[in-house]
Amino acid sequence: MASILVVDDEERMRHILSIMLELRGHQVEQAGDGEAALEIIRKKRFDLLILDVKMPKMDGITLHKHVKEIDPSYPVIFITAFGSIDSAVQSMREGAFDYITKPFDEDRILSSVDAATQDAGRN
Amino acid sequence: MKSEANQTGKQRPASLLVRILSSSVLLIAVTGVFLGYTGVQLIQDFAKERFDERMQFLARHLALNAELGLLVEQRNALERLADNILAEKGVVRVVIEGGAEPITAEAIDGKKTGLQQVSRFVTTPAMDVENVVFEPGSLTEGLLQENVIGKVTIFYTDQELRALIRSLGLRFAMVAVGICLLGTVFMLFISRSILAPLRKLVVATQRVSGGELNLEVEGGHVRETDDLARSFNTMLHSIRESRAALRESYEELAKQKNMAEVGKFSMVLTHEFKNPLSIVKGSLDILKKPDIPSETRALMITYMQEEVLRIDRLIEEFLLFSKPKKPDMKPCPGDALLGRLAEKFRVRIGSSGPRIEFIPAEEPVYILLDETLFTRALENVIKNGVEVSEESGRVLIRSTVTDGNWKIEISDEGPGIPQEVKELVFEPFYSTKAKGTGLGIPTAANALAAHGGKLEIAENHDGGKGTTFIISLPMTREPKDNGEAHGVDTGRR
Repeated sequence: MASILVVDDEERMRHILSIMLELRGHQVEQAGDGEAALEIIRKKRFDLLILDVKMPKMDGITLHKHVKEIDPSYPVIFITAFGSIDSAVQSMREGAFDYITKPFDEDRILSSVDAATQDAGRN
Repeated sequence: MKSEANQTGKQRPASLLVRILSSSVLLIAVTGVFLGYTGVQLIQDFAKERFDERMQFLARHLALNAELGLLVEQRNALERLADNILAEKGVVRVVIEGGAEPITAEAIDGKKTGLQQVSRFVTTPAMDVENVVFEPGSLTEGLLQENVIGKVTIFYTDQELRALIRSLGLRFAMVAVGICLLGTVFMLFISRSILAPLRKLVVATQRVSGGELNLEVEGGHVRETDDLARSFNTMLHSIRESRAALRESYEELAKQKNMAEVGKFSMVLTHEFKNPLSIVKGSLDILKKPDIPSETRALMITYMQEEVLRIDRLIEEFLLFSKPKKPDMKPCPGDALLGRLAEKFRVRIGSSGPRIEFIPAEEPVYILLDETLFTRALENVIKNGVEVSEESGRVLIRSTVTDGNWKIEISDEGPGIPQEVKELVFEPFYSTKAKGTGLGIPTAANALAAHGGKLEIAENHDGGKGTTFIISLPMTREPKDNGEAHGVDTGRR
């Protein structure tokens, strides 16, 4: 069981991800944009962050940069639509754990979450 | 047309033909006159000298021959002698003095005016030098060795000589005129052989300026014009080549631009469709699970329904942009429509967004428009304002009527649009927001343009917060059929 923060401006997307992860036994919190997420992250340590790339106010990539200032090895998984794969690849280079393209497969995201949280557990 | 304008606007310079001809004729004429005049003058001087010499000779000859006649006083012989001399050309009077009475032979038609004379003493060798009497002014003065026994005088006229010179001058003049004419014809021939290719070049340049590039000009038989024609043909060839290259690069550019547009379109399309699709897919994944609560199941079904509708709206938005509808204009109370639209947004936003304020115009607005299309355009602009606003913000819709135009201002209190991207807002697929198709404002602008109106972004006067879109539509329109526009007035509420 891991504590996970899901950050996406699409409320329904957040909700669906939360249901999937909670059914797997994880503890999930949600944030609607980068600024709100950063506030939560500063107050609480999560095992994993799931970030949408394109968001208003502060996008996922910028949020990741701020997160790395707190902890350079903070586990992060990006979810992205096809249009922003380039940014996601760039983020992988900068230390993100994985990136998953929309529309994603439930098994794909759950296995990635498992891998990331196990990784985090080992660390 | 252009050359006509040039002709009327400014006096054109003389043509090459006129210049060559006039200068060559002038040159030949001046040379002819100068040479002719000098030649005639020389001949005149020469002939006059010879003529005078001849008269001197005749006088000498007469004096010698008259000697005997005077000595023996044979008057008859002297008269014959005088007559003989008179027969000579130019001689008009012959006078032999020395006898008892001077002998005069005179031509009947001899002119008295302009006469010249030459005199000669008739002498005999001096026999008795001591008896010579010197009298001042006498015929013998200065003659010491000879006895003067008489004097001959020949009066002559050079009238015939003058006539001869005149006729000579006339002939010279005629020859000069002949040379001038011949020179003119000759120069005309030369000029034409130079000018014909030049004229062809002029015609060719006119055709080229008219857009015709596939032509060749001939240079004629003069080397210089041939060189010119060759250069012209080479120039045309390079123009053809560079134009072809230009066309190719333009086509390449257009292709690239098209590809870029397609690329941008695909990106936006993919991104905008993948979000609802992933919600639908996620909802399905959850629905597939056997042990989920029934309320979650119901929510997932609602999600799916609404996201499918969202996809449908997206498709419609793309279609509306790519294939704009022609507006079906009908009279409509403008402010009532705006009021309904504001209310619709208030309901949609609820408490989770900016408040929507509407200020109607002071006078009633009745205007011809396609209600569906116009509402859609306004919705896009208002939606844009709502999306960039904070929850505590405000979107103000203000309607006014100025100078026969219906003006609608839609102002938000969002971050504003930087000056440098203001034009980009009207470009398709451009969006300042993280999400969105970037078609809302371009579609609205197209729809308003189809109504004869326009959509603009107002200048920021108060330091830049927020954006104001201004929609203006002309209110004075030709009614579609009789009484349609007036019929509206009666329907005022």
